[in-house]
Amino acid sequence: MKNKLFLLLPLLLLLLSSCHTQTDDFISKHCPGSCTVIKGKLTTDDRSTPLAGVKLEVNWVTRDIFSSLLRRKAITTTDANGNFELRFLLREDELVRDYNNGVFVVNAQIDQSKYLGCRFYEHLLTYDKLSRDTTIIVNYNLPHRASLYLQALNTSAMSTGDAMLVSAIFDYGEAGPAPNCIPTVSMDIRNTEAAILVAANQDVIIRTVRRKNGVETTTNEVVRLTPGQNLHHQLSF
Amino acid sequence: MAMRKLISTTLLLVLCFTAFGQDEQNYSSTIRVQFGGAIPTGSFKSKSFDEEYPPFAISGPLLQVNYARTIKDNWAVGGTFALRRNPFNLDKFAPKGDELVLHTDSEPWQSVFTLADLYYQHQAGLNTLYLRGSLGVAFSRRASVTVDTSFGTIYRAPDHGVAPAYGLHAGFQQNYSRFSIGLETGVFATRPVFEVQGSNATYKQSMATINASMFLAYAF
Repeated sequence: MKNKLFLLLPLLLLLLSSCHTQTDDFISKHCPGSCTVIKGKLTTDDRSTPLAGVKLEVNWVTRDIFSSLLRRKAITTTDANGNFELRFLLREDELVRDYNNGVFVVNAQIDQSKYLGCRFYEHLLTYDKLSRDTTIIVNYNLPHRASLYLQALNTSAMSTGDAMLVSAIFDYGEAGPAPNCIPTVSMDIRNTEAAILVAANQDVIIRTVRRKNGVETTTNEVVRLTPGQNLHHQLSF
Repeated sequence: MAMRKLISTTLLLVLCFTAFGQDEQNYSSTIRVQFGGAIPTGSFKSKSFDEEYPPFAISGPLLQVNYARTIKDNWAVGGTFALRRNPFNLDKFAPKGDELVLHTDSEPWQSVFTLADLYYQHQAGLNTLYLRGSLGVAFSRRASVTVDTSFGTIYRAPDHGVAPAYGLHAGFQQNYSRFSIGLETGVFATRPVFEVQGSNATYKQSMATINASMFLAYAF
């Protein structure tokens, strides 16, 4: 019995170890026809400043329990006005819509210390369904980075059922606040301080939702930070 | 009888070699015909997806004709005419078995070199070692590619460019009277300007190769 387990163990490890493959799809990159196009403008500072010279790439990524595949589809660089165009050809396996189908991811090569990232830093855009002969127009705002240091006051006054939720809302991504990218913290008697990354050179709405004795109130404050600034902000419960 | 014939023939051959050896010192000029391979190096071998126009060059043939004339002691001057071809790596660009690809075709990268040479050579018995520096012009042609797919055709057009070229080679030859055989290795490089297909923009393409050749030489 012991011997059988020892024989099975390497096989199990082999099965569990993932196999990563990356391929370059040159046929797609030089799309001869029926192309899918993602085009638009990349900006910062509340869409007022174009981001020039940024390399953008679209990849098709699929993974299962044993392996993952990254197929590079197209690459481009934003021009002096921030304009870009990614043109590529979808293959049959990229059109199949089933449970384990991959996703198309648009990445940007940017200085992560200067610009604000979202959930997966380099991913600007994600599409799980694309079609041939399709043009998607995207005007994307990628803010400069600043930080808010939040400090909650008077949390000792909180009783059971009371809460204070603080969110920072700002224009990010394709149009307006991106729901997945709104930093939110819950502050209470144990958690009185928090640091969050926010946009610089544009309005940031600090929305505070207070629940006191079952009554909910919402307050909004607007701040504007400079790139790299760390602003201390106090909130009273 | 047979033994006499054998001895006589051997003596005759030895005498001939001796005669040729005495004449060898009077030859001031050499023509070499070389054939070998050219291996792309640097950005010339690139097949990077991140580049706008990766060259996809792979190893190809190199034909050279060199003329050299001794001017003083170990120094010689001369000229080189060379033809170099490096195929486009179609297997990497459009792999066989790709379900989209119906047909592929390509013409190789090509450079014709016309160079002036300066030699430093050292005689060691019947052998000659030399270094050759070359400077001149190369007439180059960009590889063309055609890939027919079920969605249309991908076509990279050829283009021509003229640019300065240089070479640096080291060789070894074994001399047999007027004739010699030898080996040579070195580098040829040029950087022509090509037009971007479909626009007025241009780009510079480095075309450098590491070469290895065998040659036959004739001294006169």
